[in-house]
Amino acid sequence: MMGGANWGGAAFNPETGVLYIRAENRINVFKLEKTEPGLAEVDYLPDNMYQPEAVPHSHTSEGEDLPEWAGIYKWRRFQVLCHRQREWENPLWSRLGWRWLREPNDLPDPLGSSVRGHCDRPWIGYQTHCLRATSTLTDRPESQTVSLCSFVTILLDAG
Amino acid sequence: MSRLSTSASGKRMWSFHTIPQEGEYGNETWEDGSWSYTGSTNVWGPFTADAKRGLVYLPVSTPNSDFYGGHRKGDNLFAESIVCLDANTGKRVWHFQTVHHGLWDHDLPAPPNLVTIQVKGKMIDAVVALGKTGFAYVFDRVTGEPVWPIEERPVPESDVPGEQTSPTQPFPTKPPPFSRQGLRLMT
Repeated sequence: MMGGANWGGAAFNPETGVLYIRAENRINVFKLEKTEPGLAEVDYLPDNMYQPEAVPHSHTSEGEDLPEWAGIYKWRRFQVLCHRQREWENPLWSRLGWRWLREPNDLPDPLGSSVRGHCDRPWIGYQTHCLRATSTLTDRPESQTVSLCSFVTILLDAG
Repeated sequence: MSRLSTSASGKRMWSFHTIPQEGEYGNETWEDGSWSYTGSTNVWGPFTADAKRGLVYLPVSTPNSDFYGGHRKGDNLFAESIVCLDANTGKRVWHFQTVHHGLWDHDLPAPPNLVTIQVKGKMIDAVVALGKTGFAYVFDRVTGEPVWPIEERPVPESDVPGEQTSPTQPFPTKPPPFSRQGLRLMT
């Protein structure tokens, strides 16, 4: 599951005791895939995930070899936005590795079927996270988790 | 790490480690010394201050990596927690972790709301922490006691190699979640 509340937060009316929350529902599929060294878009580095140029692949920020869990895997996150939300088409998200897929059919089944039933016109993107993970991962290169959500605004009675 | 500076001089008054350093409360929730190399766990959203009481509330974010925690086993305090600090000293007053050993980036992204609500005829000064979990976590602003019970419930374990998920997660009994809590795959 992804969604819930985000940066917008909530507003409270003290006269009515109602809390107004900008709530989100979003569909995600996370898939752990084995990848080749050097193909990572973003390395996982202790202390600093998002500066792959700052530290060589095989070293920590202190210049020491990574522990034995250093193997390269990547998370591929498929994300579906309902109700024509297209905020990730801006350049910032492009730099972070978001790419647009065409239709729900691009999602791996059976999630694609579920998405088609849930959204009137979904837009789909994916992001690839790469990380260095435990060596035990080499025994089982793939695993997958699934999540779902949509964009709505609701009222919540806090009283 | 969170820091508070005076507005006039910019001099640092105190700092609070959102990843507890050696010897600090909660350090043992980062197994195998993972506190020393794990990043993020920052306060992504703004603080909220109760100026009258001299309290500040920190909505703490998720640790690196957002989606894999095999290299940081344990509950990972104060990740994905609301932390109440004494604004004058930076000392922890209370905290509540909304997700143990976070693996979904389900952190607290928004400033907590200070609310005064009537529950069973009693007025309560409360603070509401909103989660990407779709839950609103409501606490007594001073004591940190949940206004309504928050239950630790068993949750499924991950099958990701190397991962060690928490056997339970906290679920507020009220108010009800404001986003979907599940998905059924249709095959």
